[in-house]
Amino acid sequence: MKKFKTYVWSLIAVSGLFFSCSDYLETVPDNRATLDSPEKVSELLVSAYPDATHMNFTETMTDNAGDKEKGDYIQDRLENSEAFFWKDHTTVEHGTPAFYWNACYKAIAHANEALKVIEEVDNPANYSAQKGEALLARAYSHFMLVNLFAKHYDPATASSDLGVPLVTEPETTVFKTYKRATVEEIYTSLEQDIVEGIKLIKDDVYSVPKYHFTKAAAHAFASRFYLYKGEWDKVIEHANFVLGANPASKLRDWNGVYQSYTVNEMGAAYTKADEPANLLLSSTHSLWARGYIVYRYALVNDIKEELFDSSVSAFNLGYKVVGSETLFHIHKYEEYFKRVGGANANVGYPMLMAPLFVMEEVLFNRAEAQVMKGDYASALLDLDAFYSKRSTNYNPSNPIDEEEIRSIYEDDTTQLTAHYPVAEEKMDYLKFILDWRRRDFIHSGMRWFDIRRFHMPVVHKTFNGNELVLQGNDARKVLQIPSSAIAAGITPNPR
Amino acid sequence: MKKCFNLGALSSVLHKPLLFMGMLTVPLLSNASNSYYETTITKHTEDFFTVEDQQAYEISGIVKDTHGMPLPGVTVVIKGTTIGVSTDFDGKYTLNVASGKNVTLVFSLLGMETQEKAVSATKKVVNVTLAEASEQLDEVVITSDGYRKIDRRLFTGAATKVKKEDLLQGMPDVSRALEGKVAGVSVQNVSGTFGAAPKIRVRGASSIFGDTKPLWVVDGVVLEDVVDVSPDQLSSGDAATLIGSSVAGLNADDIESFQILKDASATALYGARAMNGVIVITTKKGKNGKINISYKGEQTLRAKPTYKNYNIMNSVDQMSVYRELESKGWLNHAEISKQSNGGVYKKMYDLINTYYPSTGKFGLENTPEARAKFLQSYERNNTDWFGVLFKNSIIQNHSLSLSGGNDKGNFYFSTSFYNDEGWTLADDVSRFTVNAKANVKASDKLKIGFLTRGSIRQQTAPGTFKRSKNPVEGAYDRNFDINPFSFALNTSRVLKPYDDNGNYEYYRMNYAPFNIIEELENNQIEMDVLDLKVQGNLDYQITDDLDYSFVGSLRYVKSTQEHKITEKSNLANAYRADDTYEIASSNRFLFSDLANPNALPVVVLPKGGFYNRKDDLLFNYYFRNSLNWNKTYNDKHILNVLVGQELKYSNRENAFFDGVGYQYDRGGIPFIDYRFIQQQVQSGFSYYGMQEYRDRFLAYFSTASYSYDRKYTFNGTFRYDGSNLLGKSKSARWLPTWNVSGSWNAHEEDFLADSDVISYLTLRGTYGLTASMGPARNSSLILMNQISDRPYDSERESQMFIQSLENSELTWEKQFETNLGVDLGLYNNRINLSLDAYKRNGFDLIGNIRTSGIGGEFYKFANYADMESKGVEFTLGTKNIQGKNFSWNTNLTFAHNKNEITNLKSSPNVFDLVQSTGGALENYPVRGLFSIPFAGLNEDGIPTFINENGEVSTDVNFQSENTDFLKYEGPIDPKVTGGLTNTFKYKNFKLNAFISYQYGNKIRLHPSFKARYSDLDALPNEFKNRWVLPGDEKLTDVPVILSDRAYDVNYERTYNAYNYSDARVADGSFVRMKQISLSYDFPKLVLDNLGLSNAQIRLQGSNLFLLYSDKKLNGQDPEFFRAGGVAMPVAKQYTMSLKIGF
Repeated sequence: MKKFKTYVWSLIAVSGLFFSCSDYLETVPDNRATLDSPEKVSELLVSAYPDATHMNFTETMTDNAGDKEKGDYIQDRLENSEAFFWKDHTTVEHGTPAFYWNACYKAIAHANEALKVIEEVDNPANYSAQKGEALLARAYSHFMLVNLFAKHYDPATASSDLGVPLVTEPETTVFKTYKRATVEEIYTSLEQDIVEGIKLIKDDVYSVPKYHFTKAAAHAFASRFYLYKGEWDKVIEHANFVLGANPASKLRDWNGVYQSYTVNEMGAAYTKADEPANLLLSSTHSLWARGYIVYRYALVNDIKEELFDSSVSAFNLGYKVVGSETLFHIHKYEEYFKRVGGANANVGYPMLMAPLFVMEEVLFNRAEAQVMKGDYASALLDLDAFYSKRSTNYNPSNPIDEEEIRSIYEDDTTQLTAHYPVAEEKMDYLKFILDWRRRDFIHSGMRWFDIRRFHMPVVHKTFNGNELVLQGNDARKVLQIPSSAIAAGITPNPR
Repeated sequence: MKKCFNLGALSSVLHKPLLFMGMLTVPLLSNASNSYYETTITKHTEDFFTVEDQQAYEISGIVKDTHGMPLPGVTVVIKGTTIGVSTDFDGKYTLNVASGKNVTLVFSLLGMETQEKAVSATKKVVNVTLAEASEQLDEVVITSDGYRKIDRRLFTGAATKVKKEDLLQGMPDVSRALEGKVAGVSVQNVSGTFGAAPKIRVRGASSIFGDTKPLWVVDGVVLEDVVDVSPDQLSSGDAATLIGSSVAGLNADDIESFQILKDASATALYGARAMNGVIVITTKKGKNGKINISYKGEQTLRAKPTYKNYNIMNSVDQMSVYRELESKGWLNHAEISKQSNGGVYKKMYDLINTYYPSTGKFGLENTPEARAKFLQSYERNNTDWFGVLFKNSIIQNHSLSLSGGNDKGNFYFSTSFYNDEGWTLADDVSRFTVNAKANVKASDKLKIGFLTRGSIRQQTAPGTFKRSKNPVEGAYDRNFDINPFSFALNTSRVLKPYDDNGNYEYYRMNYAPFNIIEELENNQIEMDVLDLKVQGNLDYQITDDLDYSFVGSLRYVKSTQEHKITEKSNLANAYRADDTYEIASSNRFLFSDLANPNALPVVVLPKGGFYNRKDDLLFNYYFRNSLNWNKTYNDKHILNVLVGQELKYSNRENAFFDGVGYQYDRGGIPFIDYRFIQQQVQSGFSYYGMQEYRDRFLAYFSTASYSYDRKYTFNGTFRYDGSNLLGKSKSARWLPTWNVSGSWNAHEEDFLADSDVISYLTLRGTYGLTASMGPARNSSLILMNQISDRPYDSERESQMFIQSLENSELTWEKQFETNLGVDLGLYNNRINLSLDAYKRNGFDLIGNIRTSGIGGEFYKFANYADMESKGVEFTLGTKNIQGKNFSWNTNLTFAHNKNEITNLKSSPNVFDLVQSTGGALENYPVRGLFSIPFAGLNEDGIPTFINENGEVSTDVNFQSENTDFLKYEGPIDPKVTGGLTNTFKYKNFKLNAFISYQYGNKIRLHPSFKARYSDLDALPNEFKNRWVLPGDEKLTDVPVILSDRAYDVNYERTYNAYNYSDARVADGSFVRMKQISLSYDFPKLVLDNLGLSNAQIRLQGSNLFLLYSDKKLNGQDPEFFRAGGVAMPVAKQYTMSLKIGF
């Protein structure tokens, strides 16, 4: 028995040696960051913007793209041809819808992580500006997703149209089951986030404001949101905040300093934070800064002539088209090549600082809303403000008037349709605004959203003369859900 | 099973440990241990007299070996007592027997058969002849799994013990010494560079994305790696691989044995770290009864590689390719002057451009005749780059050890020096090791041991940077690769190192002049590693049956890599190349200020070179406490219970510093252009950095064994491991593992006891769970910081990002293993067979899984993969001839392993699968090699493939996730591995021939094909059969050299696709004459005259030649990847060694 006691005591003594170290395993294994101050939440929100762009596939799907076939430097890439032929994409690389989908949801995850932390802190008031930014960033990514992977908002069908999964909390399991919310559910949720977020935003928490939802950027977003919904007063209200008293002074100075830029300078200036016209920029992984020039399916000579040769448009717009033969483009983007493994490595990530909101869009949004309200005089003022920064021979005593607009579309019988009624008399105005948007937003993919809003057909001509048509209400205007998400149980779009 | 006896003689001197320690120094200082030893013995014989009974009688005699030579140092003990003496140098002994009774004397000496002799008072002279102990395969009575030493009968697992002398000799890094020696252990020498770990697998891979290295245990303590080198990184040639093998710090001569623990039962005590098998190294300790001084010296000569073994064109053939390039519109004057690299054509145009005002002539006349003459002079160079860059230098390895001991304690001290002056102009290694070990029996109950081991390594390697992957074009990139071996294979033999006047001849690399010899002098990595370990053991016998033991160890490793790039190096000059507008605008080493988009890029390294430094630090300590209870009832029931716990603490720190503008020839003053830093910052990099890693580990373990009547044994183990590595969540932290096993010693049964055929027969069975830590660390959210990727300083800010979302389900990688084994000895152990069959079901393996993306992380590392592997392995040892003077033994090892991923939710793209390192795909092996199906050359000689859309095309999308069209070639790891050893002994000569083999893996040939070539390229001989004229496509698969006119940027992909097609795959099977050695042991007679106790001389050739390999390799080594960097193939080498013992 004594022996037994010895055994027991030995056992207890030996095992007792380390039982006291219960927090021994609490040590953090590496240099990971902690999230414990408003400043750090702000840093996390730097990642709450999609680090990808839709330009690559949206622009290629529009009527701005043609077929160059071959030429020096011309590159034939799969994501480019799949977009041009409105096929469902088969890869997930740069410039594909799946890549953009992932980037948007990654941004949403960062916003949700920030919101969760803010919810748990003892002093949420100190975090209100961060909360505002997180709400808007989360709304923005959802908004872009729903406008690519679902039908355009239509109050008649929104409650049954499948939107995209709405994610409002961090994922903590490997495979979480998600369902597509309806377009209406998404819009309702986004409206809440936008309205609440705008109130909370404080511009002075940002060290580099142009890469964050400032008040101005948030109102620009709201103006687009309500434009898509067709709530004209709200479009005007939010646009007014952004545009202020003298909108022309805030526009890109195409007929001024831009005229003096060299190609390199223009590429740099266009996406720079100190350009007043840029309201929100995002650092994105993209090949588009070379793609818009060298891809086979991009701006071709015919389309370039139609849009930019002064003899055609008669407005003497001051866009500087550069390049030759198969490489015509407006040098909006310059690639930032982020090298991997050192400043001089061969390999790296091609990046593009993408403008997400620009002043011109807000101006066009307001003009369109004014047209829809029948306030043509105000619309003309906005259009003339725009014209004053584009025309190389602008004369303030001869502003754009209704007559001029009507004369352009005299013989144009195409009808624009939207989810709201468009009166015949508004048609020319809208066409005019859409045409100017098309020119000003060239290479940016924004045209695609206009094509969806107004159910416009798209015709693509191949090099050997074939014509492909994407009808006004073609199912392919709604991008297919990425295959990996379909594999995970997300309902695909009809084809 | 403790075998304690008392050499009464020494005991009173040594009753205090301190005294013993003092004694250690005596032989060291005086170097006169012989006399010291003798006097000690004598003195004690006298002491002994005074204590013992007066009735004593004296016995004396001589002990000799079978050759009639006297044996000194034989222990003679009265059986059942602790009384004994040792024989002197004439083999004589005198022993006093206390009582008048008859006693039995036991004569023992290491390496000899122990003999017992009954003596009585009437028989005063007892002469004995001891026979040499025969080496038996399964003679191991005691086995060690690193945690304890237990009776072999209680051990039920699959484990193989390899004695030092059976390992491959002459390997400074002992991890390579196992090749082919142990069934089920595969060793692939992906690089032969010192310090680079070979790829070792115990029973194949058990993890898909995680670690597949076995756990190394040295003297009971896990040997931590300084840096974690992933399986794919092993063959990368990156400088980090040089410190990839911690085992490289061990002196091979200090090693007593290897024990390879293979199945779940054998590794059970390592629990959640043992999934990849465990290799236990036991180092030597002092032996009772004999003081030993032993010296071993090795001189090794390495052969230079020759072009005969590599598939590279000679300069005549190569020049014909250049001429074709020229005729196809490449290599023209304008083109070449724009290019960053240039060879013989660039040289020619430079001469044409050089005008000498003094003579009024140009360096070369621009006439067809003059040009042809110039090229002809180079055509015949046929430079042997191997001869230029390699040396026939000698590697020296000396080791010296002192050891000794008695029943109160033992000591072992050794030191070694390894010096390799370098196989090439750019490498050398020296390593110094020291090892001191002492064990003392402080009292009957308490044993204490200490061990200190240290090594210092200094190594030089060619300067290199990390390679990076370029998935768009499907290739790897490494800037400024100057690895001499790669250079010899990649550089045209048309070029030459010296000009006609004996000066360096330069070519153009990175827009700057380049000469490989000069570059190797001016661009080197110097490495220093200090590895120090202190370990203490304590055993306390609490009761007769119960032992407490403690092991504690502390290890500190510091490694520094200094990459010294002088101002003369091509690398530094590349930063200064701005001769023309074109060069300045396209040289990526110049700085373009993004804020000033119109400016021409400028030089930001006007002076100096670089001083880049990397420091890796490991601080590690470890404690273990355990209680061991042993009990035997009635000699029938043996019981053993072990409980304990352990704790591990490791801190690692990796730091780097890139110093710019260092002026090596100006006293080391850095000349810094601030814009260099700006360039770094603008690109989102820092010139310095530091990362810390903290590894905390706790475990509790228990095991119980029961054996009945030596026939039936049962074993059960349970272990509970905890680690901080999985992250903050407590649920993921702990993991229980367990194991049950049993064995049946059939030879102990009555029906086999008298068998003449079967000497022994044991059947074993195991089932259990083992685990390993996967590569994921995200049981809670992981946030990291970076500087946002934006071009302008003013727009950059600190950015936090989610590296991994929380995975609340994260756990360890696990595996159930079933093992069945047979150990069989036939005809008095003349045939020994050990056979094991196993099946492993790996689950919860970490897979790189693709999600819907909606959660915010498209690819996740999560426990969602399963794999299955099974295999058979055996070792067959036969004593073919056993004569008095001649014997012949054969030992064959064979292992077959097949694994298959049964579940993996991943979607690799084409590039992931076609690389030479293979890819992971469900229903295929862990690393399978896939190829793009080659569909012949088209009518223009351009390769075509069946692409992802099922079309025959010149274009394949490397990023396509439709990988169904790829052709599966086979696994990259061999299915079968093994070795065959034949040992012949004639008198004192021993001849050993060892063949290693592997079978069933595929390898990718070097990616030599490109859409455009330069006048620097060295091309394989296949190019002789290239497509030249329409119609050739019916005769050859070697694609055309594209003309400038036909070139299209999309063909870059086409030619890369050809490199990754099934036309460029070879079989990796080989049979290699790995080693032949001849040794001669000096006879006792000679030794006595020299005053030595043993001496051996040995000649050996290693890596001699391949007996079989795929013809497609054209003689090239199938094991080696041409990775560049610091990787070198294993050299053919000849070693002479001399071993002397005093």
